[in-house]
Amino acid sequence: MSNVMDSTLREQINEASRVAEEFTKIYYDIVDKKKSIQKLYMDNGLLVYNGNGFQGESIGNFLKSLPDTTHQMTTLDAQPILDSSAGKSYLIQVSGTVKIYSQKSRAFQQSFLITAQDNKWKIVTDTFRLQDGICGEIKL
Amino acid sequence: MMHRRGGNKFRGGNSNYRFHDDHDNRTNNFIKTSRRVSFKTTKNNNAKSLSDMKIKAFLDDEDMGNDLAQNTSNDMKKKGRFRNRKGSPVPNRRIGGMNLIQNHAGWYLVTIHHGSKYEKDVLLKLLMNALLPTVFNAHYYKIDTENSCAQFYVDDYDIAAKILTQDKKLNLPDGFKMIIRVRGSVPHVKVDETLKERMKLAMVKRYNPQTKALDLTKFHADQDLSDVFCALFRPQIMSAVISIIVENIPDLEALNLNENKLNMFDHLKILSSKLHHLKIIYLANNRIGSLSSLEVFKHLPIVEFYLEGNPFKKRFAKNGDYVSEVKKKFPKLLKLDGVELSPTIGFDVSEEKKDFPIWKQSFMVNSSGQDFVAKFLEQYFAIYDSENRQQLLEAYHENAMLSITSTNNQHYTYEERLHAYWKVGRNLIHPKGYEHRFASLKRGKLVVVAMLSDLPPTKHDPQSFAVDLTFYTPQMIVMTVTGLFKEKNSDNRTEFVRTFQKTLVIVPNNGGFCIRNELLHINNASPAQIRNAFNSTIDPQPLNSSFQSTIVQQPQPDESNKLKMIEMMSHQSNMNVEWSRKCLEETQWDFNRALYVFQELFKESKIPQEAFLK
Repeated sequence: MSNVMDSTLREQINEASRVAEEFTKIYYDIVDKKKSIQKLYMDNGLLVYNGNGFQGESIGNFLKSLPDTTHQMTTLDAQPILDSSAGKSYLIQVSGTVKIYSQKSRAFQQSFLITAQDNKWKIVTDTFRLQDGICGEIKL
Repeated sequence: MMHRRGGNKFRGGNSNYRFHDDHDNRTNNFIKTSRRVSFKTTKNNNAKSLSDMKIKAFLDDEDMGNDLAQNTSNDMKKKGRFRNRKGSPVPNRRIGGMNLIQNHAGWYLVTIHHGSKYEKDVLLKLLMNALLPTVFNAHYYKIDTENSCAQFYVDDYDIAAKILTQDKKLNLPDGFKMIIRVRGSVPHVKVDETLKERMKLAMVKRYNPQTKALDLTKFHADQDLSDVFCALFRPQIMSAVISIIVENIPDLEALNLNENKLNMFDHLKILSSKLHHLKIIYLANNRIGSLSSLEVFKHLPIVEFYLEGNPFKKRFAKNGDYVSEVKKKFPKLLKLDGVELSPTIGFDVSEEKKDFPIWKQSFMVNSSGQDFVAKFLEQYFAIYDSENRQQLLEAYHENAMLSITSTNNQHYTYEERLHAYWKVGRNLIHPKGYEHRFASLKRGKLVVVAMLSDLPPTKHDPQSFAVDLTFYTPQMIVMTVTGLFKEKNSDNRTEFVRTFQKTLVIVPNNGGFCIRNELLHINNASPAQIRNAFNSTIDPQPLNSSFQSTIVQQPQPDESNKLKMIEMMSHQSNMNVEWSRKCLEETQWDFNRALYVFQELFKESKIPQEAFLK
């Protein structure tokens, strides 16, 4: 019994890892090239950018309005959420550096809650923060 | 100055040993003229112990009559030199000495032979009087006891050359001529913490916080550093100065480096990445040989340069060419050498400045989650920062998951490296195979808490916390917390400031809540964060009232969900359906809020008995 459970869990963890790798590759490519991103989010998906909330259709417009960015991932981690109420959902956390306006690289951290909806992965929540903001200043 | 026996062999008159011979010779000559023919023999006597010669010279000095000695020695010198030149393939030292080679560093070592016998004041007074009206500073005066000479440094070629012209012209109190040698040489200095601290104090006095300007003109001549050779053209000194600036005044706007004998700036590359506001640089009267040396500054927002008095300027036949060339490299330049420039007209292809959202301390998807978040974090970190993290067992779900990532940067110093997290960490960017992926994801509350207990002791700074509550339903809560903490080393003596980000999935459990999933990321804090950490003046409000949050309201649940919530509420509070509905309605169907309100009121016995009648 426990072997079967272990094996299922292992598969889930492996899949979360694989999805996280693919998802982040696609996500940062779209964000940096300012391509249309709205479809990656759920209809009532939520983006929180340095503490500013955007919901639904305002997300795509907001991300497009940002200065040009180049994201570089340094670490990536992911876990399956095994709570029955969550459906098939993964939690992903990224750290890395981002160049804004071709300026110096700044440290950022971002986390995503993604869920499977009609055979597609959709972003439920997306939380982004520049590390400089903590007790510091962000000057652009 | 150390004698290199081998190196001096062929240098005839330039050898220190020769000088001793000379010294010997002139005195001996006075007493015993036959000594003149022994010139060559004494040369061969190089092996003779130095102290013997010193004693001899000293004794001779005592016996000597001033006038005679001088005449004889002059006489002797001429002949000696003549002979010497004849016998040596190397040009004689007088000619070599007169053509003092200009040293690019601009520092010269003056050696006065037998100088150890005289008071510093006596020697310097003689030299200074002889050079009048030129005045000079003798830096780092010292006695070389091994070679019984006095040495000091001067920082100007003309002065060095003038001092050399006084060789054997000045009478010492005991009648000897002062023998002077000069060569290009840079004083040695070791940069340690003590020196860095002293440099810092000297810099504080030169900093103007109003204009954000640091004046390091002639830094080596700073009165507070007069006993050490703190010259900025030495890369190690400059690097120390730069790191002091980066650590203490990262918002520096103007830097004056006039008159520091600077010629290259390769080690200043770091400025571009650390000082983003530096826009005015003065570099007048240095030794910059080429305009390309300034390339290291091209990523800075430079609007003003002062470059007068540098050799590269002579390469431009016309001043206009010079201005054009500098402007080509620094198109945003508005002022050069004190002259306003006409602005460069560019093409409109640059990135337009777009609005970037300001940084907000917290985001609450639902305002009623604020109390829950504040309480949860307060309780969690109180235990986490305590000596016993075992109590966190209550905060985690039976099958909780935890994994840790940390930045591993090869540029970090040993202390900065995040060994403790890295060795137990997980990073899908550098996959180490399925087994590692599986094992580095800790599962089950016992394993999770065991891992947390093994991490270094900490103290978190609640003032620094930024909280984003992004999902808030009765079934599940998702939040991300970032902030600063102090990590105590295992020896408990050293502390490092780090940043963390925790993403948490929290689920209801036995009337309370527990962590189902946790992703933890650890990184080093920036210099500004290290400065501001645990600085309560930045935000004097306590954690539970410090959220300046933006809110997106959750839509209300539909009827079937409402019934489910009422049922859950009734089950957890023991209130009847009617009162459970009432409680939920008054809290806009926010389950956690409702439960919280119930618990608070229940504690105060403010809930009437009828609420529990079923």
